[in-house]
Amino acid sequence: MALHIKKMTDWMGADVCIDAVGCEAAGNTMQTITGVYTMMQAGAATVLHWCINSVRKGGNVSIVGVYGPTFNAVPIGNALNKGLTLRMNQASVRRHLPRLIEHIRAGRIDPKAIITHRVPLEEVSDAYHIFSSKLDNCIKTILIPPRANEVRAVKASTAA
Amino acid sequence: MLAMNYRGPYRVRADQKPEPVIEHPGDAIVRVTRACICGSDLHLYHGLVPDTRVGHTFGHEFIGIVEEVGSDVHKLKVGDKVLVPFNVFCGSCFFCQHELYGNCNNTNAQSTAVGAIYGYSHTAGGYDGGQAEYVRVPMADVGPMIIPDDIHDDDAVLLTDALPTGYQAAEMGDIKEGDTVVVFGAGPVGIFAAKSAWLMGAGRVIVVDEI
Repeated sequence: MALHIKKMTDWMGADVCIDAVGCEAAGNTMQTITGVYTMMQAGAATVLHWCINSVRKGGNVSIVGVYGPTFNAVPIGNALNKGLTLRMNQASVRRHLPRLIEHIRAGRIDPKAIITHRVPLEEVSDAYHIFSSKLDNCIKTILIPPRANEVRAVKASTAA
Repeated sequence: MLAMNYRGPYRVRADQKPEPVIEHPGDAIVRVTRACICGSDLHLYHGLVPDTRVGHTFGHEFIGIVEEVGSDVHKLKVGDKVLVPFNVFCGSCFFCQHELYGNCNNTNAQSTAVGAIYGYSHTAGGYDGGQAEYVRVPMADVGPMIIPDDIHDDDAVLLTDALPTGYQAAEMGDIKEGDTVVVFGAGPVGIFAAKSAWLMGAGRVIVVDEI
């Protein structure tokens, strides 16, 4: 489905996708089996999939198709009935940098305070183990490569 | 009175049921002149909605004539022709104050997720619906709207659910001039959503359904 929509939209995807079908959607055997026939989830999430996959990046998905309040892998019925706005994305880092740098300069934020572990790169395996197993109160680990502390000549440096 | 009667999944019939009576001073009794079956009624019909009880009357898309009003009803009088929005709402809670009539806090004790809907099982408040001769319409001053003389009855009944829902679908999509909009589902709601998308300036509207 998403492929068809992509083909029709220059491979961008639609700006807006509207789900006007809801929980008894036809079109995906697995969804129909789990959601309608065996009711392992509250209805087929087929069109939600199509919407999410057919819309362009940054686009809008608008849902009015009805889903029930019982269990779905994602409780979309509750989201619909409560009229929620769901917004999400990977952070657009570049856009935030100026403001965040200002906060740091003004002393309002001290990011390095959360670093708990400084580990040479050679010991990366241990670092992962510690972090993954939540040992040693590890919050944030910095890995330091072997020649990190070498100072290279920098213009305007009065190295003393 | 004759009313639609749910007897279990895939089993409905028309039966004699007692006529509804005024239970609260804010109620009105409406004699239904047109009622629709909604695509979402099929979920009830297929037994997919929890707490759908045998004996329940479905129907959340109806218009009719006011036959009786409670002592606290001031905006309607007997004989008024009204269309009744499918949401049952109080008009005064936080959500109603924010125009979220589908999320009213006061009309549905059974769920914190959904407000109340006529004829949509006890999950949605347990109100008997409009696929019947008479319906009890609570909070009659707040919900029903008197149908203007120049609006056809067939248009009015579609204003209770299908058209507003399709319109809101397009509105929630935040459509900008020239946008490409895809509507999945070519039922009444999808068709209205597509129409609304055109009105909102969409450059291209694609409607998808199976044949």
